[in-house]
Amino acid sequence: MTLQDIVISLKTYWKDQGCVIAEPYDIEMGAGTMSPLTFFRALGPDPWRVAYVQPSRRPVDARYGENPNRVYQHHQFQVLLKPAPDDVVERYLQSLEHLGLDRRQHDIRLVEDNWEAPSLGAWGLGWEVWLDGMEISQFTYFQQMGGHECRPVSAELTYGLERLVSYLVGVDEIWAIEWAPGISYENLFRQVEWEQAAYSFEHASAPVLLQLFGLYESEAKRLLDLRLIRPGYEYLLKCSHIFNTLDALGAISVTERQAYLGRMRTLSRLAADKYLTSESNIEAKEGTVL
Amino acid sequence: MTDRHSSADMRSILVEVGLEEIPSQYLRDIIENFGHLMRDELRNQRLNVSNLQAWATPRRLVVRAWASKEQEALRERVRGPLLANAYKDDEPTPALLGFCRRVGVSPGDVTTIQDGSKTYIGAEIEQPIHPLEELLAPAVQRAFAQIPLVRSMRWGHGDYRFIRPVRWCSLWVEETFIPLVIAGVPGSAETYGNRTNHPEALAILGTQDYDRALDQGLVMVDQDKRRKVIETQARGLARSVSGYLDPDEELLEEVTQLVEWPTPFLGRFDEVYLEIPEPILVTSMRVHQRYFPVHKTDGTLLPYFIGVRNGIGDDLDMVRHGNEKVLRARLSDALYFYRTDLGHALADHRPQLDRVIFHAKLGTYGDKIARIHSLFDATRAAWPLNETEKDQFKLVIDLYKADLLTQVVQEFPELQGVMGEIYAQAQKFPNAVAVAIGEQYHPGHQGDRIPHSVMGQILVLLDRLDTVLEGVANGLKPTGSEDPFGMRRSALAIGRVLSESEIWQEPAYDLFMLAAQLLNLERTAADESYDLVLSRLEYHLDVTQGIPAQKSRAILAAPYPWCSYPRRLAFLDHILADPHWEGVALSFKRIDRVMKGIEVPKDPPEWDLPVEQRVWTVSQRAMAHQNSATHWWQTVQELSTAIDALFDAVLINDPDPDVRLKRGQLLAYAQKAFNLFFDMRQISV
Repeated sequence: MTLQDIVISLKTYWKDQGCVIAEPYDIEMGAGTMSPLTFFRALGPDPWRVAYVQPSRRPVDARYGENPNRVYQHHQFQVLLKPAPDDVVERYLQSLEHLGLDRRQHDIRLVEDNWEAPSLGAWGLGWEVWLDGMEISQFTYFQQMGGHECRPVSAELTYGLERLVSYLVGVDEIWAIEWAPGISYENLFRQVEWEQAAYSFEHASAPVLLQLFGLYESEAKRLLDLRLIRPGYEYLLKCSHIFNTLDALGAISVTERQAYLGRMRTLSRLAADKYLTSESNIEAKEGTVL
Repeated sequence: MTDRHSSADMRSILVEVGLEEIPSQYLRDIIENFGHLMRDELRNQRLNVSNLQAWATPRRLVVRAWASKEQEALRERVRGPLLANAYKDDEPTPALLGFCRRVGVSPGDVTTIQDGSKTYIGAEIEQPIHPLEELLAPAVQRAFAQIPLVRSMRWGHGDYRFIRPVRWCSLWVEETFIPLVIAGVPGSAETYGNRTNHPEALAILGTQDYDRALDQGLVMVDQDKRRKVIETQARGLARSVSGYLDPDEELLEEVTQLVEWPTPFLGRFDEVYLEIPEPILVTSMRVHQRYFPVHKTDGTLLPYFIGVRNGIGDDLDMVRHGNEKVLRARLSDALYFYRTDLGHALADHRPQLDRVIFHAKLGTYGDKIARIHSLFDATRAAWPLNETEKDQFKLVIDLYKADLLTQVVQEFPELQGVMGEIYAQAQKFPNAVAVAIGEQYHPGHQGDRIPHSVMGQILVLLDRLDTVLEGVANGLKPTGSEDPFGMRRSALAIGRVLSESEIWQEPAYDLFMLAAQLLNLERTAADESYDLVLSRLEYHLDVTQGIPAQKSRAILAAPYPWCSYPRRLAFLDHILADPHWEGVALSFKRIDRVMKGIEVPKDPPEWDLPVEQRVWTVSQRAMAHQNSATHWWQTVQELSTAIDALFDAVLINDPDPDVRLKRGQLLAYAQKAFNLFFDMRQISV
C-alpha cells in the first residue's frame, strides 16, 4: 500500500459520506484548518462537507531530514462536517476500517486534546485519536472561529498522513514510506527537508521577515476594509507563515508571541466579520459560489 | 418518616447517560456530583434513596440505587381566612367554604392557627402521593443539568451544553423503561458496548439485566474495579521481569478513566536508551504515552513499560508492537537531543540568553541575569554562605537559565531546571551549584516544596523578587482572574521562601525596599510587591494550615523576619488564650479609635498628670522587651490597666490644642508598644 493509495481511499470514503473532494490551497500554511474551505465555511448557518489534503508547513519542526518522524512539511488529510453528525466518531472509526484496519486488533483511544488557534480567534474541544499509542488524528468540535460562535458546530477531523501511513504499512520512519510504486518519501522530500531546515534555522533573514510581516499585515487590513475578503485573508495566511519562520529562527520571544498572535487575531476577526456580512456569502447561501 | 423500609416498598432504579469520551481528569468529579445531585433531587421529592452507586467510564455515566416506590406521606397545615371572617351567625361564610373547597376538607374538620395577635382558620391536609415512575425522569433531568463543569461545549445543531456530546440515555425502574430526555437526546431501551469490541446497540431489559448487557459489550462500568484490575495486572507484569512499579496514583487514575475495559500489557525498549537520564525517560513514558515505567529493586529503570489498552483483542502483539514503535521514536529523538546537548558546555549558551526575551517589558534573560547578580552583590553579606559558596552562587546565577537553550528542554519544557542540574553534574560543577539550578522551579504546583538547599532558596528568592518587582513596576500586576505572567505564583514563592527558610533574618519589607532601590524602581513598586506577596502568603496559610488571614497578617505585618513566623504564631495563640487578652484588646481598641496619624515625639514632654506619666513609663518598659515576648506581654497587660486609668481620668480630646497634641503623642507611643510583636489592629477588632 502506498501513500497515494491511502489518500485515494480516504477520498473515496469521504466522498461517499457526502463531502466535496477539494484540492489543497495554494498558499503556504501551518494546518488545513486555515484553508478558506474550513475557516470561512465553518462560519454561518449553511451545511458543508469537504475533504482535502493540505500540505502543512511547520518550520519549527524542521530537522534537516534527519529525524525519523518530524519534518518541515507534512500532509494533513482534512475533513470538515457541518453540522457534526451524531455518529461522527463512528464514521471516523469506519474510515480507518475502510483503510483495512481491524479495530478489534488495535487499541483506539480518544484522549482529551482541546484545540486553540490564537491567531485565528478560534477554539474547539475534542481529542487526539491514539492508534496503539500513536497519535494519528485530531478531532475537534469547533466552538469559535474568527471570534464568532460556530452555529451549527462543525466537526473537524485531521489525519496526520505520514504517521497514519507509516503505521499502516509498518515502517519505522517516514522516509521509507512509498508515495507511489518505486517512489519513496525520501525520494520526494529528503533534500527538500534539508533545504527548508537550513533556510528556516540559518538563512532566513529576520529583518526582512519582520518587514514583510508588517507589509503583509497592512495589505491584509487594506484589502479586508475594501471587502476583498479572500485576497485580504491570503495576506493573513502569509503573515502566519512568516511568523512561524521567525519563530523557528528564535527571533520571537515568549511574550512578543502574544503581541504577534494578537495582531493576526485582529485580522482573522476582521476577515470573519466581513465574510459573514458579505454579498458573496449571501450568494454562497444560494449555492452559486463554491 | 419511618426509619426502616421493607424491601417491598423499594424499587431498583438505573440511569445511564452515554457520551463521547469525557476527559479523564474530570470524570470522577462529574460522576460523583451526578450521584449526589440525583440523591438530593429524589429526596426533595420525598423519595427515600439507599445503596446509591455512581459509576462512570469515559463513555457513560451510570447511577443505580434503590428508591421508594412512591412519595412519603406528608400532612401539612395550611392557613385559611381570618377566624373573624369565617363564620357569620355560627354559619360558615363563603370565605371559609371557598377555602375548604380549595384544600378538600369539610368545614367541620378545620382548626385554628394563631399568628401573633391574629387567629386564622387552619386545616390539616394530606399532600397527594405520586409514584416513583412519575417523578424519576424529571429528577434525573434536573440532576444532570446541574452537574458543575469546568468547560463545556455545544455540538451539532443544538444549544445544549455538556463537557462532550451526549449520544444516548436510558432510565429504568426495575423492568420498566421510563422515557426521558437528556440534552435533547430521547431515552431508549438500549446501550452500547465498548467501541472496539461491541460498537453496536445492546438491548437492556431492566435494572437487573444491565450488568449482563455490559458484560456482553465488554464494559467494566465500576471505576474502582477497573483501577484494581489495572493495578493488580500491571504489578504482575512488572514482577514477570523482576521489576516493580513506583506508586503513581495520578497515572493510575488517568488510565483507569481512559478505558472502558482495561487490558494492561508489557512492552520493551532497547537498552541503549537507558543512557538517557531517567527524568527524560519517565516523562516520555508517563506524560506523553501514559505508560508505567518499570523499576529495578535498586530504583533504576528497566527497559520495559506497561501500557493499558482499551478492550480485548485476539492477541496483544499488534498493540504492543505499535506502542513500542511509538516509544522508540520518542526515545530516539530524546537520545539524539541529549547527546547533542552533552556536546556543549552550559556556559556556551550564556551569550544567546542575551537575545532570548524573558518578557517584552522586562528585557532578555541576559538582562534578568545581570539584575540578579546586582541584587546578590548588594546583599552578599546577608546570606548564610561562606566565601567559596558565595563565589559558587555567582556561577549559579550565570548558568541557571542556560538549559532553556538545550535541545532536550526545547523538546520537554517541563524538564527546565532538571536538565540544567543534569548537565551541570555532567560538567563536574560543584554539587551545590547543580542542585541549586535543579531546584529553581520550586515551589511549582500547589503543595510543592520550597528548595531544600540554601543556594536554591536564595536563587528562588532573588529570581522571583526580580520578576515581581519588575512586573509590578511594568504594569503586569494580576487583576481579578487575569494573571497572564503568573505573578501570583512568583509572589507566593517569595513569601514561602521568606517564611519557611532561615535565609533572610531581617524584616521582609526591608528586602523589598532594598531590591527596589537596586533595580531603580519607585518605592510604590516595593510597596505593591510587598502587599501582593503578603496577601498570597496569607491566602496560602489559610488554605494549607487553616490560619485565618487576620491572624497571619497580625504576625507578618510586624517588623520581624518572616522566618520567626512559627514561633510568633505559637506565642500569639498563647496570648489569645490568656484571660487578660480581652482587656488588652479593649484598651488597644480605645487607643485605635482616637488615634489620627499622630507621631511619637522625639523627646518625651513633661507629663502633668501621674496617669500620663505612668502610661509613658510602662510603654517605655514594654518597648525595651524586644527580645522577650513573655516580658513584653506581662508589661502590655500593665500598660492596658494604665491606659484604662488614663481614659477614665482625662478627656483625650482636650479643648486646649497643646494638651490634645500631647495626649495624642502619648497614645501613639503606647500604640507602638502594643504593636511591638503583632499588628494588633488585625486581631483586636
